[in-house]
Amino acid sequence: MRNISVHLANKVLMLLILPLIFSFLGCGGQDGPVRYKLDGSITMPDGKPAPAGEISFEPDSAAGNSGPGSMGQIKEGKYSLPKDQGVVGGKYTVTITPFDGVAFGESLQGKPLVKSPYVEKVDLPAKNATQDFKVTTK
Amino acid sequence: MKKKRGFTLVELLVVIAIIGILVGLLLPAVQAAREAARRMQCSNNVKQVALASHNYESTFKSFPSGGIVSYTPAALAALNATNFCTSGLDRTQAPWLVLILPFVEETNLYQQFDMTKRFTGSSNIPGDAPNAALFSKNMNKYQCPSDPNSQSTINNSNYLGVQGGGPPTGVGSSPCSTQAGQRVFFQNGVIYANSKTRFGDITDGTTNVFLVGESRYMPTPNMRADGFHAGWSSCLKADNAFAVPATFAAAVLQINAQKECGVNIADCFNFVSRLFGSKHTGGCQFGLCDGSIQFVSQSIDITTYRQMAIRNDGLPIGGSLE
Repeated sequence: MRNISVHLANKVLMLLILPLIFSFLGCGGQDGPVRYKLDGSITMPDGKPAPAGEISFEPDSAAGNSGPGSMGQIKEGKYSLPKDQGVVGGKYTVTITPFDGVAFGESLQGKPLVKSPYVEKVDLPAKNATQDFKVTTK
Repeated sequence: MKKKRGFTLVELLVVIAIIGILVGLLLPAVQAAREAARRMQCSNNVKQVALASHNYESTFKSFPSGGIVSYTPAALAALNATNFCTSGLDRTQAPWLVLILPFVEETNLYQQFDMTKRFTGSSNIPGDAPNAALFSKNMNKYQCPSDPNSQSTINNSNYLGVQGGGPPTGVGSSPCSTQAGQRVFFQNGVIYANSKTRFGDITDGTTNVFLVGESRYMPTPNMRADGFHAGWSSCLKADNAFAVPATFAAAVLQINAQKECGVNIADCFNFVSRLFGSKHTGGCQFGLCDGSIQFVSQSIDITTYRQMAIRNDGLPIGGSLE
């Protein structure tokens, strides 16, 4: 008798838990295109890492790509875009604005290391990837 | 064996599990309903600000100027779109959020400001009395209830005018900017520096152009270690290398591209002029020039998004002429 009731309770529990598991499957979805993680390093013309600044990615509409843009902070030569802020892959225009990282006046990230932002066109894969950049202008 | 009355352990566990699951289902639903209510209230706030701008237009025949810079016509003519923001503007006056005060039932507050005196740009550059004292005043009508700052007396605004949009500046033909293009002054929107936009200037059609957008990036006192911050009554901040408009922004970066600002995280003075975003999930609200309110997803195509911020690009939304 006891065995049967335990068996029954187990079944009831399974019936309750299964829908719960399936209901969690529906969570965490995101509307819009699938985006991928991207990270990498950024070096200056002298070969040193860029201390601070910003890197911005936008799909190159002139090359037929479309989708949301992304932006990441440069910290000690590295940047990292999480999945929900990631790239969709394809042709991209990348804009890099490196700063020297030494607080100056009101600017906490210091002085810009370039006169105008450094721009590069890249072709990114549609998967989590690493992409390094080298700033070649001053 | 005599049967005892009562529940077995298994029965109790099952009941507790069922109740737990029901509560677990209920709690997120309640929280979602609360957020939905806050978003609705926020969209009402955007509507009020957009309608106030329309009423301003009905009275003065143009949308409110993003921020007034009172120069002589000759001095103004000597400036152009690419250099005016770095020329040391020292006579910057009322921003648009102050100009529309009479149209959001705040005439008394409006009359406390002196429109002929300088306004405060950011807390480290105070304006003249009495405007400097009014700078730190809290204005709940300009705050989104989902923004934690709306629960405090912080003087931020979550609603910024749309001064235009386009690719990052400093690249090719660019509008005026400081900090290597991180603080920008666009002029192809509706509400920008010294603007006098009439309905006739919005040639893309009022249903296709942003008027006011939601932002959580206006610097507040707790975002920087030195406490420098802006406010809803900030004039366009004009100190050469660090010039930035605080009450209007451009569509340059993707909506919500920066998660948060704060000490050792990021400096919002470098974002406030080129980024919109909200604490709502998945995007932010925009008031369009026809008075409608749209929730725009943060997954929107960047080119489409920028086109909607430009009043006269002559392009269909999301399209090009090629």
